[in-house]
Amino acid sequence: MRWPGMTPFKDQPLARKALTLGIVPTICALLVTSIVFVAMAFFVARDNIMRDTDSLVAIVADSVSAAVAFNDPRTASEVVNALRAKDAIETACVFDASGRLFASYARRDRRCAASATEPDRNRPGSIVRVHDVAVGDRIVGRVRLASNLTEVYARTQAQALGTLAALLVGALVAWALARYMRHWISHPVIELASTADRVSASRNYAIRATKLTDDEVGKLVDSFNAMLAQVQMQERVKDEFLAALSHELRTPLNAILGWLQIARTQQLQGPALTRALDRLERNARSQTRVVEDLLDVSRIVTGKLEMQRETVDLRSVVTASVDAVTPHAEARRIRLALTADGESFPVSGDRQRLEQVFVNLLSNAVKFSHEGGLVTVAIEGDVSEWIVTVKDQGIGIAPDFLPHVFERFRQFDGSMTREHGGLGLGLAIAKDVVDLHDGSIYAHSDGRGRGSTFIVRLPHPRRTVAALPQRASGTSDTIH
Amino acid sequence: VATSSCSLAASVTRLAAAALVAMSLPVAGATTDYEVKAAYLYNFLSFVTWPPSFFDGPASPLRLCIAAPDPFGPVINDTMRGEQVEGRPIAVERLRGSEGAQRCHVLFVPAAAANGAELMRAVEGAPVLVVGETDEFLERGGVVRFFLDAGHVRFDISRTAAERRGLMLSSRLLQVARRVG
Repeated sequence: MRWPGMTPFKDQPLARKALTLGIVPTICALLVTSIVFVAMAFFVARDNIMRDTDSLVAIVADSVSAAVAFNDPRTASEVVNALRAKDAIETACVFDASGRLFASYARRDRRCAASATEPDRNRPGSIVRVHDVAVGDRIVGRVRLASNLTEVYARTQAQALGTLAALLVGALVAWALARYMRHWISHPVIELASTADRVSASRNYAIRATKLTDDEVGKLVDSFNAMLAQVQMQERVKDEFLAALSHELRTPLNAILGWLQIARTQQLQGPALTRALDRLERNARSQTRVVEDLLDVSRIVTGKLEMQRETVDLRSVVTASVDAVTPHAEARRIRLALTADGESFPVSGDRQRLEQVFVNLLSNAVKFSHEGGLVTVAIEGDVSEWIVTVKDQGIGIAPDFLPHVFERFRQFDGSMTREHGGLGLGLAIAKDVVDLHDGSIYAHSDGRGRGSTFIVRLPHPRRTVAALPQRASGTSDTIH
Repeated sequence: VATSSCSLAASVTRLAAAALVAMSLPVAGATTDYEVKAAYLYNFLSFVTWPPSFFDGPASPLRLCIAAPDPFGPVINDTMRGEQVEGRPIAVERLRGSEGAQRCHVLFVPAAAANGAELMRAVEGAPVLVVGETDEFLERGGVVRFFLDAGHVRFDISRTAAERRGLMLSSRLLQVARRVG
């Protein structure tokens, strides 16, 4: 229902809804009960009067029998006038055998009907009963009794009014209670909404909503707070990432600018120039790698990472990766040991991407190893997959950070980022690439200072493309 | 079916006649007084209870005796014909003397009766509703006495006489009697 200028129920405030829900069903229930109660009272009272009239007319007919039989209107009159005590009786009329009025009693403005058999005019509020007056087997007259229902009507009316008053009082009580209790429902929601408003206006994600109830709203508050915590974390991750990114981009740039200035002011020549150019190149490459990583992440996120799919030998991939990080390792006197359990380890995938995975893992292992430490790489076979384990004896991973180790832009903490450099993208990219090869990656550490282990599992290549025709078209040379 | 409806119609006619007579007393003459009295005699039967032992059987007739000289004529027979009271037919008997009077349930003693004292002796102590119409009738042992009140037939009742005879009179009957002794 809708009235002009009135908010539809579904759009009304919760407090109003709670109030309405408290009152409307109560009033409906009270109303139905009242109507039934009054109606029942009315019908019972009417039934009583009907039965009274039925029995009274028989009693009167018996009482006046001798008076009628012996032509004694005075006695008959005395009998019927005794009905004065009965409020409901309007008229009591005795007719003789010839149908003439013999004796009568009439209340106030009422009069006897012209004859006993005169049809009831169905005047509402009156009940008419006729009874024969018999002496032995002979009918000597008739009694006609008219009862009056106006008293019943009046009583019903009074009852209805009383019930209505009770109903109003009940509704008022319901209204007061609902008004008092509606805040129990609306207050927690309003509180949550205002907290949300404050968070949104101030962009302060450290604010938390207060949990006032243990119901659905309470759960909502918990979810809301959990969401805020996530947002807060994302914010921090983003801030840290930006700091790391600017650091990673600026450090090589500083070196490049520094070497350029040296080259220019000192007019370097010969081996000194070569050395300066080496440094320039190395820093430029380092920056390129940062940018490449960012681009990779962006490609992976948007699903645009293009991959070759060919059969490559995992052993040669891992060997190439080991070779790539060897200079760094040697610079810090870290030993790299590769063991392979078998001859050939065919994998279907992108050689360069897979190399990227193991270079990232090995770089990390070297980066987080102590000087003079050992990094082992093992390749093993399984019934269905190859298992590459990269293990170091470095600083390890704190248990609470372990679940987040493959998340983008996550590093153990800000100080670590600064100490060890990097954007924290290497493991995220590694995981994404392994996922794209239908493999899995897993990190393990016994805790800080106890080294880390990374395990990569890659499936054996499918033997024939024809064996799985339904997937043949989907597994083209490139994966998007 | 035909006969029963005929007798019903006849009895209705008779009833109407009796009632009409009862209603039209003021304009009626002395002869119609006996029509009223006949109707009253019939009515008494419904308001009086006799000892059960005073009947031969459950369906044996009520004996309504008229002492000589009979003032009713055919009226009394017309009134009683075909009527029953609680399953008992009504037998109208006219007495010559006092013989058999003690076996009557109702004995009407007309004002002109010559053997009144003899009749009263004959029914002394018997459960007989003795109805008379003379002034001192109740003092002489009668139970009901008819009299005229402004042209209306009324009656007095002696409850002591009824009790002495073992008759039970309905309170309704006592209610309409003028005097109850």
